[in-house]
This record gives sequence, structure tokens and C-alpha cells, in this order.
Amino acid sequence: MKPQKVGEGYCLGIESTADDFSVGIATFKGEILANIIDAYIPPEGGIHPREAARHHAEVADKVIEEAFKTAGIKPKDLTVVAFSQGPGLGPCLRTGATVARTLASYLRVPLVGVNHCVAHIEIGKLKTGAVDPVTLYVSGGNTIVAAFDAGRYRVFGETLDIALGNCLDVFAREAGLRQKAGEPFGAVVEKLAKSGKRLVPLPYTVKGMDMSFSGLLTAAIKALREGGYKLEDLCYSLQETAFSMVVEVTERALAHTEKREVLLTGGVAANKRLQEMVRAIAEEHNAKFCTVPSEYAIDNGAMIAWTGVLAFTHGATTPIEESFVRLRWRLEEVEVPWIG
Amino acid sequence: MDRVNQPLLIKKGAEAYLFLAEWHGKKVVLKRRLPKRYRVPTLDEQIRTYRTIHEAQLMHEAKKAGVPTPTIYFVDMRDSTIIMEFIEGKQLKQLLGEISA
Repeated sequence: MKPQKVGEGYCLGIESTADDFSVGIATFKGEILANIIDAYIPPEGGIHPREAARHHAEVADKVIEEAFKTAGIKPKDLTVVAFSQGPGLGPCLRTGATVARTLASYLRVPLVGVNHCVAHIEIGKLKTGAVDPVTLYVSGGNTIVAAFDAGRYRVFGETLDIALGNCLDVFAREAGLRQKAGEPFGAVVEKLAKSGKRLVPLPYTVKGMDMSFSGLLTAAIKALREGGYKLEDLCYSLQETAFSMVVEVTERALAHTEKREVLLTGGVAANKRLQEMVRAIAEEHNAKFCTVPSEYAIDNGAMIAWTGVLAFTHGATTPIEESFVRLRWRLEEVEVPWIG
Repeated sequence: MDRVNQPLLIKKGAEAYLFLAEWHGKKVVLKRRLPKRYRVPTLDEQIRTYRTIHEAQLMHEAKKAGVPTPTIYFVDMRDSTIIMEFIEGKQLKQLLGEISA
């Protein structure tokens, strides 16, 4: 057992909002000692919430054990247990919350419920050194442009319907594309888009600061079924249109807030074309472009552990009776006392 | 578009640049939607053209409905520019800031 110094501590974080079950361990100083991710891979189609939850329950003990082994600490060394309390899929969230409650009450340590979106921003800041960025968070479940102002992360723009990653995923499945094990559909679309040349007209929908991707998806699928277009061109057009939308909103938030950093995170952040576009607007507004390493950009336990540290060291804990999951917990509902 | 004297950049927005200039002896604002290098040219041109026309139409409609709006003098589609009346005063953002302060 590692001796625990005064003022030091360890937080274990459990992430289970969607298809990934992940456990991370962070020190109070911000070192990530472990970040074990176990993804549920559906035999076909998208994520079925109950099937994913069953996967989480099945792998939970194995993932926790591996996290402790990687971190080189024992369960009794933990100071606090954090879990993603929302937003996300009900059955998946409940599974993670149950594991977290069990662990915390058994070890007699405090529990901290963490907002999944806040966690994505915090780990991004930790890993890139960004201090006060405009964040573009794009994944299979979320599409949000946010920045800190007056005690909270404020949402400047978001999707009105489906998430950007969801749009790319569904299109890829409709096109009958296949992915290699562990490869996201977005990567398959990205690869094809590289050899696309012709821009197929698709609906570009930015309403004020919000975006809509469902009409774009429908139009892309319709074009696919009608035929007459090369799949490469459709992938290219879908990416160009959808990315231009999120980048436009990010640029507006940047111009309005006059912040000096842009943080790109979420599963879609791995896309090189999107990175290139966000980098261009950052340069245009003399801001630093920060992109989160893939392991910490996708859903991961480390981000929950680190945000758990921030919350716990600023006096926030979640009593068991208030640890119910919040399926639609919005980013701006969370007070963020650790930013001065 | 000719006879614009010494345009001076006064604001760099996300959507467009604003220039203060003199046009046929009048003090005017040039709102120019410059190409965005992150967008592919075809899409970029479509968006800038559509938005410039739409903005001019909406300002015109607003004026007809009795909303005080700057008068539009000229719309140049070649470089997505609207030449409009310059109005002296503070920005709405500034005024709101003063009220809440």
C-alpha cells in the first residue's frame, strides 16, 4: 500500500452515460493514474440502452479491478468516489450509479455526482493546459458550444435535435459501411470523405446560435437512396456541411466572448478535417487551438475522477438519497465553484 | 460600389467585418462578409450570398413595419457587401451592460 500524504487523495470516477463503461483514478494534484475504457459494441444497429446497461453490469468488476491494478493503489486508499450522474441513457446511468453507491458505502467514503458535460471540459483543460476556453464538444450524444461566465459554463449554442456524431453514425450505417473493431463510424466516414470532391447540396441549418442535424441526415440518406452520387462525395458533403455549422457557431461564441482559447473535445474531435476548421477560426481570432487527446476526448472515467476531485475539494458531495440519475441534466444548471 | 473613400475597419465580427467609410458624401457602414477559409468555396459563397440578400430584405421589411433601422444604400453581391447608413450612438450591448452594472 502506498502511504497517503497529508493533503493528498485519490478519486475513482465511473463513467457510464452511453456505450462506454469506464473507470478512472485521479490524484488530487491532477495526475491520472488509470483510465480503463470498456466499450459496448452492438451486434448491429445503434446503442440499445438496456443491452448497453447489461454490458456495463457484466464488465464493472473487471474494469474496476484493472483500474486499481494500473493505478497501483488499493480500494482503501480512495478518498472519494465520483460518478457521471447525467445527462445520458437511463439504464446505463443507473448501472454506473449503482456501482458508485455500492463502492462508496462499502468503503465509507463520500460520493460525488458529476455532470458528464462539465467533466469533458475539465479533463480537456487539464490535458491541454487551457484555462478559460470556448469549448466545442461534439460527440454521439452531444453538440454544445460553451464557455464559462459568472459561476457556470454557459451554453452559447447547441443542437436542437440529434448530435453531430449521431448524424454521422446513422448515415454510415444506412450506407452499409463497416467498421473495424474499436473503430468509430466517424473514422470510416472521414476516410471516404477524403476522396470526395463534389459538394452535393445539403441543408445547412443554423438558427441563431443553435443547429439542427436531423434534416441534414434525412437529405443525405435520401440522396444515398436515390443514387447517382458517389458515396465518397456524400461523405465529403455531409462532413463539410455539418462541420461548417458547428464551426460557425463556435466562431460567433469566440467573437462574442473574446476568449483566448478554443477547446475541441468529444468523440468527433478526432476528425482531422474538423480540427483543421476549428484551428482556422482560432487563428483568425488570435486564440490558441487546443484539441483533447483521443483517450480523454471520448467518454472516459478519468474525466469523472478529475471533476470529482475539483468538486470534492470545493466542498461538494452528493448524499446517497440525492444520487438519483439525471437524464437531462443541463450543463448550465451546474455551479462551478472551482473557477474564480 | 465606387466612390467609397478610405474604409476604416471598426469591428471584426464572426460573420462580417464592419468598415466606416464615406460614400457619395455620406457617412456609411460597409458590412462585408469576407470568405471563410475553413469552409469549402462553393458552400462559402452560397452562405455569404444568401445571408447578404436576406439581411437586406429583412432590414427593409423591418423599416416598412415601422422599426427604426439603418437605411440601405447599396447591396453589392460581388463581394457580399451591404452599404448602409451610419448611426451615431452606443451599441445595444454597451447600453445593456450599463443598465445591469
